[in-house]
Amino acid sequence: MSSPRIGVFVCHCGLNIERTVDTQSVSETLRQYSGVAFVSDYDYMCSDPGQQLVSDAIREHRLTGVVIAACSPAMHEPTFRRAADDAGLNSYLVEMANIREHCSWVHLDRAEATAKAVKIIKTMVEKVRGNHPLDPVRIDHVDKCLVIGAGITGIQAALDVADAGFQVLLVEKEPSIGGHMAQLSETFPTLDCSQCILTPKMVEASRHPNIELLTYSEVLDVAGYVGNYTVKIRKNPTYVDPDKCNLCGDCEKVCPQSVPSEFERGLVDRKAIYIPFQQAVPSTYTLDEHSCLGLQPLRCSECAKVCAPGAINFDMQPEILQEEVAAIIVTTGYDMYPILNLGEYGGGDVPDVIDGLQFERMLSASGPTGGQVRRPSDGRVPKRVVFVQCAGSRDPENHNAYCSKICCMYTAKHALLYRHAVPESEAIIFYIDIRAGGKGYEEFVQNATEHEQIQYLRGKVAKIYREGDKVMLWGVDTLSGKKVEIEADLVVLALSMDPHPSTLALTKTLKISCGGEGFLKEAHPKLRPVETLTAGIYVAGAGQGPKDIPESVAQGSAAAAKTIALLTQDKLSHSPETVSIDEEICGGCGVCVGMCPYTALSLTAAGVAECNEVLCEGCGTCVSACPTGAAQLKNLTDFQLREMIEVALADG
Amino acid sequence: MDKTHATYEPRIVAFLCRWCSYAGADLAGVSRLTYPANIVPIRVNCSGRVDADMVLSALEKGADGVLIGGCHPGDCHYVTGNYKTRRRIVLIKQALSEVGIDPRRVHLEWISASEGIKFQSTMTSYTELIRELGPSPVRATKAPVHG
Amino acid sequence: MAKAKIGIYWAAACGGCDCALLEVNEQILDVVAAADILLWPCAADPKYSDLRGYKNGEIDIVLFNGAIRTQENRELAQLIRTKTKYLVAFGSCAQSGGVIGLANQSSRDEIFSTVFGDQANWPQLSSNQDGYDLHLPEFLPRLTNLAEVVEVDYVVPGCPPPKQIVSALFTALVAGDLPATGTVFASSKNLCEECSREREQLKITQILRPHAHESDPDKCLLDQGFMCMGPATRGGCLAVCPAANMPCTGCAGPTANIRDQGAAMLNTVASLIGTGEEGEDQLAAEDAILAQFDDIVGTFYRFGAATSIFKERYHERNATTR
Ligand SMILES: Cc1cc2nc3c(=O)[nH]c(=O)nc-3n(C[C@H](O)[C@H](O)[C@H](O)COP(=O)(O)OP(=O)(O)OC[C@H]3O[C@@H](n4cnc5c(N)ncnc54)[C@H](O)[C@@H]3O)c2cc1C
Ligand code: SF4
Ligand code: SF4
Ligand code: SF4
Ligand code: FES
Repeated sequence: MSSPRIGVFVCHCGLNIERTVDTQSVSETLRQYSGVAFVSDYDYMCSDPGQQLVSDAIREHRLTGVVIAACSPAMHEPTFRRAADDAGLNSYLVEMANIREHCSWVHLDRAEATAKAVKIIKTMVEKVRGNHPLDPVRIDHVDKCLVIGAGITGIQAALDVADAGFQVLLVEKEPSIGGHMAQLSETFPTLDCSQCILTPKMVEASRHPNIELLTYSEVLDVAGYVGNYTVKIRKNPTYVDPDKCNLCGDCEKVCPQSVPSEFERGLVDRKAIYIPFQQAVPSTYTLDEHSCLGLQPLRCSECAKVCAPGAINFDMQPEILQEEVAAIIVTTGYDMYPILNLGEYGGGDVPDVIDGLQFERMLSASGPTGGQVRRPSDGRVPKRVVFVQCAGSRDPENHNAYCSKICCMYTAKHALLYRHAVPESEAIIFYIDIRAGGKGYEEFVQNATEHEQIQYLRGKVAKIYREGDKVMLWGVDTLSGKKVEIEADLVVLALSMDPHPSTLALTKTLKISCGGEGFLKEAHPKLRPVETLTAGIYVAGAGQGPKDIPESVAQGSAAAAKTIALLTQDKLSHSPETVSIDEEICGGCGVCVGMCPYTALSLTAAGVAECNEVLCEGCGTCVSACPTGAAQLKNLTDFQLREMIEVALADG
Repeated sequence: MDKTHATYEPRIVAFLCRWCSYAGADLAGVSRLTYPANIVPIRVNCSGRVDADMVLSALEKGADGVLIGGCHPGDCHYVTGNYKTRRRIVLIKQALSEVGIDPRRVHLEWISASEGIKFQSTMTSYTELIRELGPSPVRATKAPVHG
Repeated sequence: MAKAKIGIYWAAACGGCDCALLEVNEQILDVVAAADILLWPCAADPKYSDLRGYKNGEIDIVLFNGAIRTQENRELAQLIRTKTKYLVAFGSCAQSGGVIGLANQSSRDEIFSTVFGDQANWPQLSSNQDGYDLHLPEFLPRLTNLAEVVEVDYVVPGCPPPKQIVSALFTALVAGDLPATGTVFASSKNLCEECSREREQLKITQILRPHAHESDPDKCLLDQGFMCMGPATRGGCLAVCPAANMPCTGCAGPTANIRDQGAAMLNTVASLIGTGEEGEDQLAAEDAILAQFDDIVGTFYRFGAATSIFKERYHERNATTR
């Protein structure tokens, strides 16, 4: 390599640097330093004439590298890199030596500050000496995104991306989209009917020209990286041709097989051939092969016999689709904490102990009781309902440690709706705290307590059991310190929210992480709430952590915004200051592979590590871990660092 | 203080994570918080880049102290880089004490971008500590080849 | 073509390196056919005067094994350097000080009392026995490798250098085809490349010692918790130690990009140590694993201490303060 010709530009920053650092003496010292071909100092290097000075010097002195000794790189690194680029010097050959924030502003003694400034500048000269010209990594991308999970969050995200003009693949596991919101009666805090605000969005999603809906489907495999993921999706057979099915329901009537309805949360049964709920999208029946008497060989086929349009096809096969997408939004939502885990509350044992979603179904006009509150055991209208908050939440010893966040609100809603539905009734709520943070939330709870005569009991229920046709609750009122024993007609448990059971497996497929509680993990809890550490994969909704509809929708839109920002780029661009692997040295020990938070590293078939520079963020964690020195950060190699250390410690 | 230490100025190198401690140093600067000029900072992308070779090189090249500034646990921009360095520092310190070097000559501190004051106080107290410890014994390595 | 002139010398060594030369079996005959052995104290009985008698650069190549422990080692290294065209650091001690480099952690007096017991029995630099004046070479304050005393042209690593590495050197020698100076006669890659053990976990959850625990013969030793230096060590030995259920101790030294083998291994191990999860709540558990080490220098610098910062013992007052 020809010998380096490095230019050093010492800024006075008015008096900001000059006051404590003797820029003249600094310049003199650097002029004598090996590899330095040009030194200049100036009042304000970042000003137009200052930048001009740099550009001119680059051209005139054929500089091979530039050190700007001025302020923090956080301030002006882009400025000077651009200026150098314009003058024909690769911008990665330009570095800032921070002699203002790290020197002139924090030291008082001029001699000491000057000496330190020299050292700081020399370290950067050494860095520049070892730098190589680099070009930003540019990647093409496809124009489609994948949304996994079509609850309200997924629907919102899909609609936003589709409205921006990009293709969306919306994959839902269940026969219908809509998620849990479809099961809700009325929604806090405004008490609008859940179906009424959700159904139009479901229909819009199914009709949107840019959205391809894949229900009853699951993601099998994901490969590739941001901009270019290849996904494999299995579409399970519904054995009913949706185009032919006219929803007459004749099949359902003749089907001999009944199983508890998932949508109605077991309050009633459905048939093996069924439609989850009347407004389901797509609007068609589904034959659930697991509850069917048998398809192979055919054991029954009563449904096909009565299906006038001939929509039923027992030979339907699973379809495996392969698609290319640029980004993936994961909105897999939640599930209820298993009620069976709450044996102490009679979970699964006492028929008149139900969970909140079952109660939602009861309150729904379209639900199994037509909107009337009735006891599952005998169908009687309960006169006293006790609601138990935090059932399975905030109980690190026995259940989930976290707060499920929405239960305070929906329990208040439940009690209120119950009081409206059953006038001569009593609603009692056991609570630990009331957490009603949110617009209109506190008011909603206040209103419920004051105007609806809902009795709030602060305390914890210890035991719930059946006595005769009553449900008994034992607990402590922690405000009075007294034991309480209540006889109820019905108990509603505000069960904790769990991540959807498929979450863990899906995160493995996607190579993203779950937090300790099993919810989808965001890249940064405060600053990157809908991103993951894998570029191009976003998370949103209740799958990321317990949340209500407004928050879920907001996150859905946020993830969509991130996706749109990615899709609108002509090419994706990425810093080239990434890791390179010396294949002559790498023995394929694989130590680095597990280090990378972004899964940028892998071992090739030839047994050496390979860095996908699109994914590498340049943290250097793998470099520190690599035992051979094969992995090096471009423009901050071990060798450069050692030289920098040496001059930082050298005499004068 | 030892007499030989009277004229001694500690040499300290500080490896600072660009996302936290380096930015914390910037904030100290913007706030004009003064501290001793003994520490020469070297910026790294993450404290996770700081390895034993860098720390030991610095000591071999004559550092009296080596300071590593990283993001607080849970705040590392790259999530877990700081934990790996923390473990390295534990082992480095143990190795140093095994051979009779005061392990306080290597020090890891979590300093966030908003902790300009913590940056200042860390630089001040660390410089004072190293001043008290005196010159690193590594500087005076025995010469094996006399001739 | 004139026969090459070669020399073999031992300094502070155990003798294993000299034996290792014969591991090549009949290939040694090719060497003897192609070269005259001018110097080999282990096999013949040359005198200093013989060596001094050679012209500068007269010997073509000297394989130097052993570290520099005494003044005699040093003088001979310097003398040999003037007499030979190429000097080979043969074996770990010459390369990096070797196991005996760990002796630098003890003072001369400590070493003497361990070896000779009572001070009365310590050897004297000069003494008179049976009317003869005896002079012993000075015991240097610090053991070093060969390169710290004189310039070295090639490195043949290993403790002792394994057969195929010695053989590679002899082949080059007999063919009169030595590679560029600076060459290390071993693989450019780390040992893991040659090791057939299955690596999967890549997490160290415990620290085990081979004498106290049995290892799974198929799985990577490091994965199991045995401090195998393979990742930070050059291959070339075909991973015979891991194959024999012994963790690699690092005798071949580091790969070309590494300055400090022990530091490299420490980095790797510290990076891998953990519970499987990382987070603030894991720090105590990590510390518990880290605390299972009781001799970091001896573990990671078994062969490289003399060429690292751990090349001597320091005496700071508060060395154990955290
Ligand atoms: C009893 C109760 C009452 C509530 N009342 C209110 C209220 O009044 N107001 C309010 O704002 N909020 C309320 N909520 C909260 C509300 O239900 C949630 O905020 C909302 O449903 C979250 O929407 P989501 O799309 O994120 O998740 P979900 O609704 O759970 O949707 C997730 C979707 O992803 C699908 N899916 C999961 N895994 C996969 C996979 N691997 N592949 C493909 N698809 C998958 C699921 O089948 C589902 O369709 C209530 C919750 C409960 C439990
Ligand atoms: S850690 Fe280093 S030697 Fe091992 S596979 Fe990665 S790059 Fe190769
Ligand atoms: S530098 Fe960081 S982001 Fe890049 S490959 Fe290494 S560990 Fe991954
Ligand atoms: S660490 Fe040791 S046992 Fe494991 S693969 Fe490498 S050489 Fe083999
Ligand atoms: S980014 Fe600051 S320590 Fe990792």
